[in-house]
Amino acid sequence: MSAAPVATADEVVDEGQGAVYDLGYRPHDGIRLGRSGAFRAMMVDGTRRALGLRRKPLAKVIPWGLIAAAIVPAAWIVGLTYVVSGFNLEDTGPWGDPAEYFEYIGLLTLLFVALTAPTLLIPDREHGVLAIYASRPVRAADYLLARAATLFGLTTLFMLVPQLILYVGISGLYVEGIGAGLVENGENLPATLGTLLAFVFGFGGPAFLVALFAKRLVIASGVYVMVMMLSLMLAETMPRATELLVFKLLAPLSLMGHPYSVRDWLFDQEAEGWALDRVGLPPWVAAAVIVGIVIAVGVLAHRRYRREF
Amino acid sequence: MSTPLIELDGLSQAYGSFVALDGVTGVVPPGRIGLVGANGAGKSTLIKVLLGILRPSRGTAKVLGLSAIDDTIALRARVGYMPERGGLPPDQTAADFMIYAAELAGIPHRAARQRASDVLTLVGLHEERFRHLGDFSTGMMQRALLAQAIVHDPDVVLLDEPLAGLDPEGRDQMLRLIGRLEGFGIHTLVSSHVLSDIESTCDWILMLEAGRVIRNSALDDLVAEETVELEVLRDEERVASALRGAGAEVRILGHRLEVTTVDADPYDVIRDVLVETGVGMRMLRAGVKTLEDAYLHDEGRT
Repeated sequence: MSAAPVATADEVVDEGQGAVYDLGYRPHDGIRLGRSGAFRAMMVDGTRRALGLRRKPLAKVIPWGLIAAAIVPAAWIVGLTYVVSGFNLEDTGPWGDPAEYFEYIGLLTLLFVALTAPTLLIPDREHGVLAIYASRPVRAADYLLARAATLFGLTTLFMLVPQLILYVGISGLYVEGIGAGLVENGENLPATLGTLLAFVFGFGGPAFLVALFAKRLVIASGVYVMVMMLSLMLAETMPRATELLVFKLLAPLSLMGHPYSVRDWLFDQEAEGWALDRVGLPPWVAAAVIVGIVIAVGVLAHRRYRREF
Repeated sequence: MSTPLIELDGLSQAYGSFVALDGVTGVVPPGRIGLVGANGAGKSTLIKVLLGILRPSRGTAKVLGLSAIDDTIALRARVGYMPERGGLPPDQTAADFMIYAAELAGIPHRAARQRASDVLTLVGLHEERFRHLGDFSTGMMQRALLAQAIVHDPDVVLLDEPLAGLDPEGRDQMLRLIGRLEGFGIHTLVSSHVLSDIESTCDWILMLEAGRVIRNSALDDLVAEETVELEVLRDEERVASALRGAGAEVRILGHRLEVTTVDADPYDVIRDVLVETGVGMRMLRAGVKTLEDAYLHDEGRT
């Protein structure tokens, strides 16, 4: 890009037999990848930051601790099933139900998201790094999309890997062979993936929103967890089968319960008394609320960041 | 004729009732440009407009022929920026951040690694490249900021107060680094309120005061102006008045007068005025005009 010729190596120090060379400055004559290259770089950077990679050891403790807490029980279930039934399994067994595993992994996902969303957004703002992004060929939308994609992608993997371990591990113990197990348990895959997306966006959207405005990581994580827990308590305060309009209006605010409502809906399970169920609203409303929240967060995020770029 | 580095036409920017830039107009040639002015003069605002971060209320701004308003993305691919404050993530190593800063400008990973290594060597941070930026001293941080501004090989770098917070040795190192950039084919716009630093580094001055341009000229033009210092025994005001009547510009500094003429020889004008007024003279010498003199002079006229 620059017109300057490639600088030649200049010998700047020569003492006895040794010599030090100043290579000077060499312009970049190669290709430039444009915004797609910048987007990929932001994804990689976000992943490293969220997982504490290429950071000090302390930055790795919580994310990898949560990842281990999500994966180890799945492996443990497969191991226990093997101990109990060997390779003679005829159905998923008492612990291999993917819908049931969402019950356990849901809270861990909440904590993972509470940690990851602020880590992706707040340091750039608080340390003035947005000024560097603003001096590169990057738009606010590119930055926000890359950060959101990192959050949602990592959360998807966080929930998907243990489910895959369950799916493949349990299927591998089937008496008719792993192929038969994969086919039989494969019937649950659409419901599992749909539920997973409900958790990813249902938990990730509000976390992203809090991280857009909070100034400190700890405060953002704390506020997010508190809001989600309070929204769960909101459902508990509602009388079952209430027809009162005020509860019908409040039920969609029970953010924590919506992914679980979607799970019960997709797995065709009896609803466990989540807010929407208590006020008699159909479970698809939970999915609609999640989509609405994600869109609203996207709009707010762009309004918040466009003046920085 | 080469493309001007910066073209400003009626540029205005206001924050509520505070006017940061007020009809700024001017053409700045390529080279080492000093953007000078007091705190709040509009320097940082101008830089943000040139980067396309701020959209001006009125007027246009171009850098290297590209509109800062309409061609923002294309422009940013050719521009580097060193912010006044912040800009470095404390939890990343210098090498990792330089690679990332290059990749953000579209440089492929392998080339980004090479360039990161090169620019860190250039700014004297090669030995520190695997240290976290949060462990850097102020001087090292400023050098790291300069490194990220050039790691993607821009055509022009905008340096916002690059010497802020540096000790004399650090200032000297930074000024030498900035001075080297032109040899690499990189034009510089250096913003500072320390005029002596600008004077030793730049060859063109864009001077702002309260959001307006009060000088946009080559640094050599300052020295070339005909200024003479005169010290009189008495009646400074009367002599000054007579000099002004003869078409000279006069600043009164105690018993001394600083006389500048545009068309006539200042020594001839002074001789005639002293004869006319009958006032005795103690000293007469050529004025040594620094950038600070020019700033105080120009500021006084606004």
